[in-house]
Amino acid sequence: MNELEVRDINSYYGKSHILFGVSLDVAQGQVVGLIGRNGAGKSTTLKSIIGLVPPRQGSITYQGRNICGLPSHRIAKLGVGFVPEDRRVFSDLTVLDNLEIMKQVNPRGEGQWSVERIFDLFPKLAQLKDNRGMDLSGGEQQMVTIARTLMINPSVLLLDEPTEGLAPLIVREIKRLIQEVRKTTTILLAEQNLRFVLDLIDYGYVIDQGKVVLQGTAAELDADEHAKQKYLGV
Amino acid sequence: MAYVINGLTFAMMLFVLSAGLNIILGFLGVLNFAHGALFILGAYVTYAVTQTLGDFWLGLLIAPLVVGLFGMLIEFVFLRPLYKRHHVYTILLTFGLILVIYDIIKIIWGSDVKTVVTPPLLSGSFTLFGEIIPVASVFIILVGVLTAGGLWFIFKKTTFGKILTAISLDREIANALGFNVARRGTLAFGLGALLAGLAGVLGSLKLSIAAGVDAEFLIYSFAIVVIGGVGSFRGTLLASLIVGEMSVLGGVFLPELSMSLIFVLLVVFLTLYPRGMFGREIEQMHVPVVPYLGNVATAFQRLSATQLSLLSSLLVVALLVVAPLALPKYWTYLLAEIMVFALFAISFNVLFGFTGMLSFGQASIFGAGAYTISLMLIHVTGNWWLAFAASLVISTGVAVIIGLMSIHRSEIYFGMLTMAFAMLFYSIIYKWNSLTGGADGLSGIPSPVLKFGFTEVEILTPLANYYFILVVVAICYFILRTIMNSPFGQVLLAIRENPTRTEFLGLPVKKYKFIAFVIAGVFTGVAGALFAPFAGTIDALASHWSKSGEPIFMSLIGGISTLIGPGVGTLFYYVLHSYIVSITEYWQLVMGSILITVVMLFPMGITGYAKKFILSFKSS
Amino acid sequence: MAKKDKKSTLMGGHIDRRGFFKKSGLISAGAVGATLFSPLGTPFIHAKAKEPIKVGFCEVLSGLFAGIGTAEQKGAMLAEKHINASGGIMGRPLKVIYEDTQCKAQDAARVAKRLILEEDIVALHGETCTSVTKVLSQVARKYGILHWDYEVDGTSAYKEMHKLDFRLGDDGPTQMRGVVRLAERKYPKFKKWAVLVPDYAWGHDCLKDFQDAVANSTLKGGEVKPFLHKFGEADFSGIIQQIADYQPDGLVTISWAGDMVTFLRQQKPYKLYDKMVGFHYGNSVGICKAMGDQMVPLWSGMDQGHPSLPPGKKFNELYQKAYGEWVSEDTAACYYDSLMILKKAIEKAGETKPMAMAKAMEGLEYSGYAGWLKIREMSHLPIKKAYHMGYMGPVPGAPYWLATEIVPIPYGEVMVTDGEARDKFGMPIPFKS
Repeated sequence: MNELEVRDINSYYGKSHILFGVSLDVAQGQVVGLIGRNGAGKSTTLKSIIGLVPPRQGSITYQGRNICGLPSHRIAKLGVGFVPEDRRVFSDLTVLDNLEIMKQVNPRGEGQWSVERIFDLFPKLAQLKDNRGMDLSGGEQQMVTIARTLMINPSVLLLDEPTEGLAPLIVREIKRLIQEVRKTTTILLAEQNLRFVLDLIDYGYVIDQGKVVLQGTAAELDADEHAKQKYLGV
Repeated sequence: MAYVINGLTFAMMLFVLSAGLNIILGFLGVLNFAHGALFILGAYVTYAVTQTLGDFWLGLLIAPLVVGLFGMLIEFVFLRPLYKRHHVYTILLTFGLILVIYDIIKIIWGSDVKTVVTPPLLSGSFTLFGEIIPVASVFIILVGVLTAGGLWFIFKKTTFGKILTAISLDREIANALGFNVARRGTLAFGLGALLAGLAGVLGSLKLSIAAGVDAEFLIYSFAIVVIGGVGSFRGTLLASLIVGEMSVLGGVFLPELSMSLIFVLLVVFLTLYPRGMFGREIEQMHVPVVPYLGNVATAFQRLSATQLSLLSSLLVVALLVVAPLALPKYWTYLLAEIMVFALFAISFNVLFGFTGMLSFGQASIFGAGAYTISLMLIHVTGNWWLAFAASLVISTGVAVIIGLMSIHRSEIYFGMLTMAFAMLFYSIIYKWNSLTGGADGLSGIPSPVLKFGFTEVEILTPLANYYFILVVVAICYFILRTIMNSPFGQVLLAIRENPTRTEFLGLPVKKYKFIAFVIAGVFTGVAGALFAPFAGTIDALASHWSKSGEPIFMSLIGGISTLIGPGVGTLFYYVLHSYIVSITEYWQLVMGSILITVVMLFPMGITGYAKKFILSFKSS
Repeated sequence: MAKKDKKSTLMGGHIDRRGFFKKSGLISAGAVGATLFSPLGTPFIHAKAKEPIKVGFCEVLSGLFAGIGTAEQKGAMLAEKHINASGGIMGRPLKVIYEDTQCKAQDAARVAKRLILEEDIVALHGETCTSVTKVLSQVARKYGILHWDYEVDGTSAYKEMHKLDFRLGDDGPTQMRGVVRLAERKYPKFKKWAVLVPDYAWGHDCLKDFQDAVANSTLKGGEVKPFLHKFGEADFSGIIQQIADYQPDGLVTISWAGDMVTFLRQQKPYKLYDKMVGFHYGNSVGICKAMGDQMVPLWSGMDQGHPSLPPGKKFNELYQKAYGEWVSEDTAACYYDSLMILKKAIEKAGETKPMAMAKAMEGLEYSGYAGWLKIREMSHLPIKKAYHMGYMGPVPGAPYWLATEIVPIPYGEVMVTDGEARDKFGMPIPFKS
């Protein structure tokens, strides 16, 4: 059974039609890439899954269960972890607070992610634990954002452009993180950065102007020079 | 020295109240105008408990809880459905709630002034440095300090508080992370209401209890939250101290200016430091003003330029021309007044329905027009043309000033800034007794006498007044119509839909907004200039900020997506109001309920639904 | 415009108005279906053979002053009931239509015009708020309708009066003179006066009236220091401290119940009234009722309808029978008498034409629950027998403080006059109307 099945969704922002019948599958244990330029519809797709931009047509199934139309917090509680772009940490709270409040979402603390485990994986965050969100650098904020979502111990992680605007050093850190996380969590990774993505994913969908124009394994996508040129400007 | 202590007492009462408003505004983004009503409700409940159970301390416990629970109920039933809509709806809803709460109070406790018996423990006083300090004051200060401490503890130390802070910082993400934001929002509102109720308990120790006493507190708490900054209790505390002391010391040393000074401070902050001293920006989503109508919306715009629309406008004018022949005398008089206020509402809607700017300052411009023409006609000249010209100049001037300073802010800040101007303007009119007659206003304003060369036309009878007003209003309407149908009007609509995108297209959005504001101001001023001689009397209340709420409501009822909608809404409102006031003494309850119902269930207004109906006809 | 046959409903609504609504299709009755009705004990008037005499009664029924207006309305309703129970006026039923002005001039103008144009009232009464009274007076003059009121006005309002306009109540100068006359009798040695007034027209007028009264009395040479407070003041502490520092012999106040109650409560720790004697006018019953046992002993001017005085006491018994509680304002009796006076005027005139009624009112004498009064021909202001100041204290059996000591002052010593001309009763005639 696929962890996540998106079928023919059409999503809108007000009057703007953004997604035109997008479909994709994410099998359990995979890292699946959603690749495309700026404005192609990557974020909207992820937001549609987590319910922030509910699709007007189509269906979304998670672990066999229809989640389309459910309120976002319910979807999250079911095990869908959303990591937004723009590094939206809770700026007035400390790093520790950002993580600790998440315990409320998963009160029984099931799963293997805990504050201790996260600090093990990111000693840097442990150092910064009493710093406020707004005082962190971009890269540090990104780490907090990912760590925060991990705290709910999701079965599938929706990562929205985690490397955008970050220095190569940090990008490597994030790669390391994803490789660690994928051991226990399914990941749907939205990215512009093709090189970054191809290293990590098992399967990929290329999205352009709200439509899926191409899909294939990492190797297949890498080999398609024409597509890379057309859709990703590489 | 005693002034300082007393200012501190007042400040602490304000702090408790304002902290509640801060929570509601910060966590829910709701400008809760019913906050004052909740405050006085708390005082009344305290009174009820002390009367029936004879124990003030029980009242201290029960009143905040009752008001808190009541607040949660209000939030859950009335406010929650409106969050996804434009903030005008929640604001209007709280206006409606004020009316309803006032009448609930009247039904339960009547209209007489009430007091709470001060408990023996708090009745005494002691001397400190030769000054008399009432024990009740110390108690209030103590409660204020404990509240501050409690809030600090909740929001800095408890998970519950930290989650609320997180939600206030980023609602969307909090939701996506698994927090039931809606439910916590209800709790947050309950907490805010509880604080208002607690402030009411404190107030009952010092004040007389009557519905309406809260009006001033509402304004103060609003100013405090803005000056201190949303999301910061430290800011609320400091601002409460400033405002509290200013009020007490100002009352003693500068009574002429004390109220106005606070509004000046408010305007300064909103213009230059919208975050206040320690706060943050209020999180706002840009929500379309006109509810989503699908591809029907663009068809609306096309429809307004078609002959059908022009024909219907002319039909309305024709109806108005013959109306007096069919109507009883009083209705002729009332219809004339309705037309004046229809112009007021229509010009307001140029800002709101067409440009997306929710201004609470239109009453000031209306007042400027009304007072100027009155003063001109009474003291300077009998020449109506001259007086009217002067009134246009002044009211446009006021619009220019308010516009210049407010345009830079958007959404809820624009609303607050225009409201602050309205409050400032009102306080000046109220105080400047020698010019404006203060609270009593001006009376004996002569009817218009129009000089055309050597002939004179005196507008004396109700019928003459009616046709005079009809002519002026019709001219104004068709001018506005031409403007709105022009490319300029199209730009305004684009700004309403998406200001950022319009900016990207190369259009100077701020300039357009300013021009729209001035245009609206001109016609608002005309409405004021028409009204004063017609009514024969004008008082400060005509420019009170709450009067700015009327064109908003009338526009909503009539339909904000059309030019004539607000006019229809005005007619509907006046007729309804007349009828209801004559059949029940609890008209506030009825009007408030109707307002709430319209806001919640009929956001498109009469003409909105009418157009939708016609369009569905056309398409089938 | 043909006059339509109009049937009255419980609260003064009109069936033909409803017909108009149905015709225009404007109101969906369902939206208003669940409204709260308020019977208020208005008797249902059966359409008799004769047309009812319609009178418009404007009052502040909502907002801060609603307590006062409601009490006065109740007084009037009692009179209406009694008049109709005893056969009406000249055999015709009396129909009083009550309208809420909200103490706002523009709303008052509108409802007054409605009463005149739609309800065809023969007389207009109102109101507590001075600014509204002015407007009602103007509207009445414009349409040639009789206007009368038991209102207390500032002298500036007299300029608005016209030949169809009458006032039955005491006014600012009268009250302030009452205080001074009392002081001349009981406190002749007082030298320092603190006058606490709200900072708007009415307050300024009363301040000036008091200063004039002192200057024209045996107390002249005494110091009068004004203390202005913001209307709706929440914190009197600054002013209280100032008054305490000033150490006056007497403290004069005129603020409405809400502000007075706040002031009285807040001054308690400062014990102002232990150190000085208090003199008040306005809403005295409302204040005593609100304060209960926390009330402070002070002198208060009283309308004769006050339950401390014999006629007012009788009225109070009537009121209790009708409403099950004591009067909440002393002016309730006054408004009862107001209607009775109109009745007497109409009966004297024999018709309801405004000029005839006005002529009948001039010189009219009436003795009722608010005492005896006579309406002066030239000024249309009242003469009464005496002005009463009462010292408030707890009285067994009363739910609120009443006057434990009463000092009546002959009316001639307090009424407004120009001092020179006298009418045929030898009473001084005030300024021309």
